[in-house]
Amino acid sequence: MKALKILLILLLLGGASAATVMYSGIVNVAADEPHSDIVYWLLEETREASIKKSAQHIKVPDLESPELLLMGGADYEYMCSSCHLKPGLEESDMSIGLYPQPPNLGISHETHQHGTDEELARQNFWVIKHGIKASGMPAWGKTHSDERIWAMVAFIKRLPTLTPEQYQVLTAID
Amino acid sequence: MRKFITTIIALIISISAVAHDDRDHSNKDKKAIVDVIKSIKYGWENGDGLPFRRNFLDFEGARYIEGGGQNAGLDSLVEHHVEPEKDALEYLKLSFSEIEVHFEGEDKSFAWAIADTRIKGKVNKSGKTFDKKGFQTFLFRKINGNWKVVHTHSSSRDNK
Amino acid sequence: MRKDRNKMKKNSIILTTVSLMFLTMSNVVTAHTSEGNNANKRDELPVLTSSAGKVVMQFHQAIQANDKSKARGFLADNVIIYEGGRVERSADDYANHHMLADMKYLAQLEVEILEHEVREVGQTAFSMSRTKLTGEFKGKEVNSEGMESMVLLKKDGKWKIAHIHWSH
Repeated sequence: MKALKILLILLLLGGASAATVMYSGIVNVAADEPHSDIVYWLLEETREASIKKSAQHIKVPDLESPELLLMGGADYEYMCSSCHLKPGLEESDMSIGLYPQPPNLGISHETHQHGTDEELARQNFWVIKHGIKASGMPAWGKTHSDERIWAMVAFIKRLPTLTPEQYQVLTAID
Repeated sequence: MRKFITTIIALIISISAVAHDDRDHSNKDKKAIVDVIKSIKYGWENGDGLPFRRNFLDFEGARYIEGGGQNAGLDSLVEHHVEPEKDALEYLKLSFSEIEVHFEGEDKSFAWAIADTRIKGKVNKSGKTFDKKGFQTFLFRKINGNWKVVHTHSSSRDNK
Repeated sequence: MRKDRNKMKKNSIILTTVSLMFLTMSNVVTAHTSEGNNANKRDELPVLTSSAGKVVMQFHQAIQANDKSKARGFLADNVIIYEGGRVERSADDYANHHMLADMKYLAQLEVEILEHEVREVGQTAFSMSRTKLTGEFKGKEVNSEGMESMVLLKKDGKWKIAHIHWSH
């Protein structure tokens, strides 16, 4: 009984503290002021673990077909390049202004995910389809079929290998 | 008035000269290409690789297609196809007709030629004769003033 | 008793070590296998990233997808096509006749590109490719190689196919 009372008091105190923090406005939500290192690390690790778990059972199709590269290229240019950049473009208003900063998919070292090609493909598919809460990454699955999303995954896989001229040819909509 | 008429006549003459010159240039090039095709005919009929070595541009990635097969590179074409036919065939008669030549590019340094073909021959080993008709495509590039073959594609079927 | 316990401890260490070894090896084999599956796949990127090559690929895709107007759009009006002992001397001639048969045929088959090279020389380009066709058509098994040569010309910024020679 005593233990129950203590637990209730602790819960009430916890709730009150949370409400105080929430409604006082002391939490800084400005995108131009980064989190502390520890908070950033906590959020990153939580996000990566969540994506990895959610994507683990996704079956990856053949990503080498030229049809996928053509379809994915056009969509990437229209839907993704303003945030995730492209060969020859090092920054954009969106890439500078968003926090966390969207990874530059045009250069390979920026794809910070670890794993085999298949794991990366699975996770990229999940992220494109479902988006990421409070990050600026939309859930494209609401408006695009799985086939189109796989096409973007296929294109992203080849993107770091493209020169600006090759990118232009591949993504041009005729 | 006289000056004006003289100017107009001079203009007409110079335009005609340029046009004529252009046609001459085109006729010369067409003749050069047809001559190359004639030498290729000679090469095939006599199992002689020299016309090929003289008139084909040797480069990595060169392909010479015949029906469902190909020779990759000039050496393969000459050593594994053209020259062996000298011993393999009793005779080979090849004719190119209805030759069309198209010049492309700003400087007209690329050309493609197409022709109807007729091929007759007799195989030594089996004694079988063949009589086929078909088509040929040649692609040319002008290198240092000479037309060089960069690709060929032939296809044929029994003449019925 | 002590001897037995020591023996058991030794056995369990050996068992654990061997199990870990097999676990590691199987992961390595799986990783290599999944890499190996794609090892023989042709890389189409060099063709796709040349503007003339992209047109050739899109033409092929349009034929396979039964998209007549899209395929016709890639042909020069006065295209000359050699195929199956026949010649067609305009895009409309091909589009209204043999193209339909080609589309019907290819729709039933698996097409694998074995070799494809495209060279651009200013406003002209030529493409050479070799494909493998497998499957069944009208109850008959198909397993053949096809050869294709093309000439493309660039006019008003767009590549158009001016000549095709198909054979097998």
